[in-house]
Amino acid sequence: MRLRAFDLIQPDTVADAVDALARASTGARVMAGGTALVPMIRLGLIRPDPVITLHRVSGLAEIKIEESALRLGAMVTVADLERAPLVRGGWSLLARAAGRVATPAIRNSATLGGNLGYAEAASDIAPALLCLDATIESAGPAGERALPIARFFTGFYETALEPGAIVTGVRVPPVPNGAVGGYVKFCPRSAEDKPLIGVAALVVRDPDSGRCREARIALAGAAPMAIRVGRAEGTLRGEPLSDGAIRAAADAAAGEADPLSDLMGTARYRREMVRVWTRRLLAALRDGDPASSSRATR
Amino acid sequence: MNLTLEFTLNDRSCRVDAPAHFTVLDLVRDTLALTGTKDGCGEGVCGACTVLLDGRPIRACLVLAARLGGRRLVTIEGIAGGELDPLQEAFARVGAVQCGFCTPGMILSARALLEEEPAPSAEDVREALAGNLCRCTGYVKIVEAVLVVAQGRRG
Amino acid sequence: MSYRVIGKSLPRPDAWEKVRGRPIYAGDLALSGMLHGLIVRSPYASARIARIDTRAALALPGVAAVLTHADVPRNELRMELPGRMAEATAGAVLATQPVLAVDRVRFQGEPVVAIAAETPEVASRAADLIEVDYEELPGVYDPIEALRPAAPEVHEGGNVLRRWHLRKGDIGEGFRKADVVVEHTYRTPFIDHVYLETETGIGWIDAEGVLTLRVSTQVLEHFRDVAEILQLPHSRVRLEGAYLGGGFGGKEDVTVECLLGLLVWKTRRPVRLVFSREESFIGHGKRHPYVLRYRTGATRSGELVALQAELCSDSGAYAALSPWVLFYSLVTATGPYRVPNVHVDAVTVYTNNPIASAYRTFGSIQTCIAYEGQMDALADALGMDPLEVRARNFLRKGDTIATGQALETEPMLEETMRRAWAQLGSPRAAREPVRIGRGLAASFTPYGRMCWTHDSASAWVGMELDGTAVVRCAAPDVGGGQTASLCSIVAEILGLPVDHVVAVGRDSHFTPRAGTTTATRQLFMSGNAVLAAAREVRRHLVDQAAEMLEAAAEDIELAEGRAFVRGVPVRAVGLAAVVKAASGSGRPTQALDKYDAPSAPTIDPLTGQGKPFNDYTFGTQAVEVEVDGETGVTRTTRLVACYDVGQAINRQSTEGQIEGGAAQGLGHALMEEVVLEQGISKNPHLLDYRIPSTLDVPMVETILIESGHGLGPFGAKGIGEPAMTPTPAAVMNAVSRATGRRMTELPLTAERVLNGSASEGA
Repeated sequence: MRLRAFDLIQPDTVADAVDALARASTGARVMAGGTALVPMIRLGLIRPDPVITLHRVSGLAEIKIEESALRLGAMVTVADLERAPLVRGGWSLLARAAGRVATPAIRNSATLGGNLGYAEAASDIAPALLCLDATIESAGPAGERALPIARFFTGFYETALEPGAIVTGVRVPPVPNGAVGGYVKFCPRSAEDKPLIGVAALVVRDPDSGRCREARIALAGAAPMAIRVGRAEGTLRGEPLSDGAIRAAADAAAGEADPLSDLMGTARYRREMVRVWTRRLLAALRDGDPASSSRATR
Repeated sequence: MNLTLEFTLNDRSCRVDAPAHFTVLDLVRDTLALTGTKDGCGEGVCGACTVLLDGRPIRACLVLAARLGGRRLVTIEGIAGGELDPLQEAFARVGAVQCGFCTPGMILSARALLEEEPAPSAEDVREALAGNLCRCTGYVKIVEAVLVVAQGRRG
Repeated sequence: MSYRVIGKSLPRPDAWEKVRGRPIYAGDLALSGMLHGLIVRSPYASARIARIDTRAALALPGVAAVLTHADVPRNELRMELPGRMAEATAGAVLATQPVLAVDRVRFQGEPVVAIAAETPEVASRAADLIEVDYEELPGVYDPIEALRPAAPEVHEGGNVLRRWHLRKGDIGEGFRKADVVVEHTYRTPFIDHVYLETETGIGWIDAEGVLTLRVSTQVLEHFRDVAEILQLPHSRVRLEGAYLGGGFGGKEDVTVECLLGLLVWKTRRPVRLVFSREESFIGHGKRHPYVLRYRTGATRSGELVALQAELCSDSGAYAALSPWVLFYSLVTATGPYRVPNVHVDAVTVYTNNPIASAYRTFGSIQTCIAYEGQMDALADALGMDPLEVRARNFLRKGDTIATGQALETEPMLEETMRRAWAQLGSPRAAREPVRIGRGLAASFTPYGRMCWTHDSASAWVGMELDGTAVVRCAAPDVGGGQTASLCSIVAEILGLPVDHVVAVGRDSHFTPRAGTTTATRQLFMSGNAVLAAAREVRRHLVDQAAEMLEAAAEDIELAEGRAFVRGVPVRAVGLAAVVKAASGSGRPTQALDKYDAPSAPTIDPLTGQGKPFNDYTFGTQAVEVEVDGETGVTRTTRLVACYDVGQAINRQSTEGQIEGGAAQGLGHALMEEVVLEQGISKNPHLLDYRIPSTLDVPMVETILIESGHGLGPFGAKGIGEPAMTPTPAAVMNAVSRATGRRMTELPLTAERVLNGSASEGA
């Protein structure tokens, strides 16, 4: 089915893109990979004109280390995140989460910046980046900006991006020494699906006592946007990772969830699944079970 | 608004005009009359529109034709010269083709898998093809066909 | 029996063009000057149309036609019931369906305006400019509600479309004899076919002024429907059947045909009409949701003595094929068992929900869910093994089904059950919270149409001068190997290599008519027609060869493209020479034959007694599932299917049907459901209506029994629909075992299994 006609602007630089967005009437939309935007256009949910694509903007698809941090350009594809040796080596949680997004063909087009800008609560990437304390970089009419990801998602498909701004990249600090991380994508319908909920976790244990020094837990699909669950994290700090402590953290996470009901499941079921999968993921991380990051339908 | 696009199509250079809102699927089917790539859903879910862009599978229904500039596009019509690709041969021989609508997309996704992983397990095959839906076959003979080709390459 | 070609696994002739992605589907052709069609549909499920204003759309440059009901010469699609079936039970209403709505819309998606424009983009803009004033009306969205006297009427006269009844023995007496009675109500949802190719057609007017349509359709006879609505002679409308990208019954009713024909006829230009996926979800007929209330009684030793059932199906806004689907449910209601006392009341009801019509198994899958759920429930109540309870009651040769029809061949049911179950092997141990459950479902599904339809199929087989053969038979190919089977049959009979036989075209006017590719009838009907024609050609060739080889006709064999004297292979002559000689001497080298299915009178609609179908396919599926006790997710780990297929024509095709049917059945059981709110679909997209992917279907294991008992060529039975019938029931039974709760409502989504709402009385 054809898309409604639109004019296409293909800027070569970030400045040109921001310019084009500023000059365009209110109907303009920025397109990165198109995997979220094109279906919406086709279904008539939005009628953008012009469409401003970013695929020609130089320097937006980098993956490199800058002062020990990982710098990712907004146009890095999800597939590249999954495969890049730098990401797999130092930020494997992100690589594994990226590998769970949709299907291979979608991953080859979907972009990091697009995923963040779309701000879907059921994003597989957002919880991983939340656990990694990433910073989102953007450029807009007022210049460049960097925002901690915890402040980036503000609501249901809403971000803190100012009008006329675009995501240009993500900076991910080094992962604490000895951290183990994992991501669970829970698909109760077809095993190939959006996640009903997703749980990402990063845990650092004291090498001597085995107690938890730091726990970072983030949820997808469990609130209007992807969230960190600070209270759950707090219950683990300083505690041994006993079954009891893990259960308490899972209960807390379920309590912090603020899920919606939709066709995939009710809020109540989502909340219960947060409890189950947070518990299972933490236990798997504790026990060194690699299955913690597998496609989780069971 | 029209664009002029220059890219490589099935190993030949191609220069063609198309409206800016055309997707790769519109271009391939309607402008270039290559009908092997199918329009199954328009949402990027069914996989019947899968083509290879710089060797990697993408959803032709989701990617704007404008993205093709300077890149290498391969459709089902172009994966083998005059002969049949081993995957095409295997799919036909093993009975992995029933209505055939999902077949081009399946073969291209499988081809991309085997380029990257020449010795996949059945599980690997299922993961790689998870984005290609089939309503006729139940996937059993499709998985068999891909494994047959993989084994043939090894042995 | 061992054959040269029949029964082997052979690549299908159509596979080679399909793997190359050649343009063979209806949407792959473009014609010069072709217009693009677009249908404007009602967004409301129940509304009056006060005004339709098409002027602005018509004025848009590039628009060739904007048509409403006023432009349709005869704006109605009729459905007729033959013989006694037409006897209306009290209050039953058989309403016609308009091609384009007049002053009322009765379901979301009902077509209102048809547009043809130079480009799809112009057509979309024209659609935006159409003004339709709707006044919403109260609607009814539940069939049980629709039966209440005060319910809003979908059509004048009431909401009952049709009732059928089955009466055998004395139900009161039966229950008095019962030591144990189990009672459950089963519920199934609207299901979508989700063929990968949406509804598609292209049309033009040919040199003789014949309106020609090339459509993805299971029924070439729709040329008559197009002729009727346009008030054209039937001879002036031709329907060419493209290879379908899947049908499953969803392309059995008229889909694009009439709208396309209308646009072509009015514009006098070629037109292409393709439904978008969203439009396909909203616009085409679904599988009927059923409420099945079953009460089954058995003796202490497990013998069935009484079965009472009330079946209620939601027909949606129009009749389509609902009465027939309901009829199949009536006939299959008891399952493949001996039951002496049977009382079934079945009703199909109008609502303002989407139209429900034909879908693979055609009403047999819903009853299987119920009757096999009941058998497991009985086994539990009796403390008996679920296999033993079934074995005790399976139909045998000579037994009568509930309609009084005696089975003339051995159903092989026990063998299908025991072999499928045995293949599952030793039970696997589960580890909490995962629970493993195994379940099975036995089934019977008719193949071939109802006996009173006097079904027939014709085919032509002819030899070319080089000894190759051509088959002409208008059997639409839905992807199940319909065309390939015909080639295999001819190759077998004439002793030719399979690739020396070509089946050309499927066309209402060019090829002898073979009827619909529905009702699992095509192998039976066109297969037998081709068999007869091939045998006739064989006789001519053999007679000619006998002359040439100076031998008796009965001593001539045909194999590998030659005729030779049996036992003396050197006394041979190539088939090309035989054909040339025959042509030269005026002997025929072609034959046109017609196969008529045995027929019987319509059954009694008040008692259901009579012979409804010529034969049935019997089969059992055994399933193993893992249910996660904490999430409710079901994973299907094993699925074994065992069928008596009579004789497989092409082994890999037969397996493929079973594998595909099982996968489709898994979707029905676990994840598929059209979600409606007041008749409005909430999930008309693949993102929200999930069908099984490679990750959801196990390696289906098939066991074929070839009894030779079928009525098709070489003793073949049909498998297309039977392949799917028992799957949801088997999965439901397996999940019930895993969870320890009797599941009664599909789909068994994780949330429903966990919170118990998939079982009754939760």
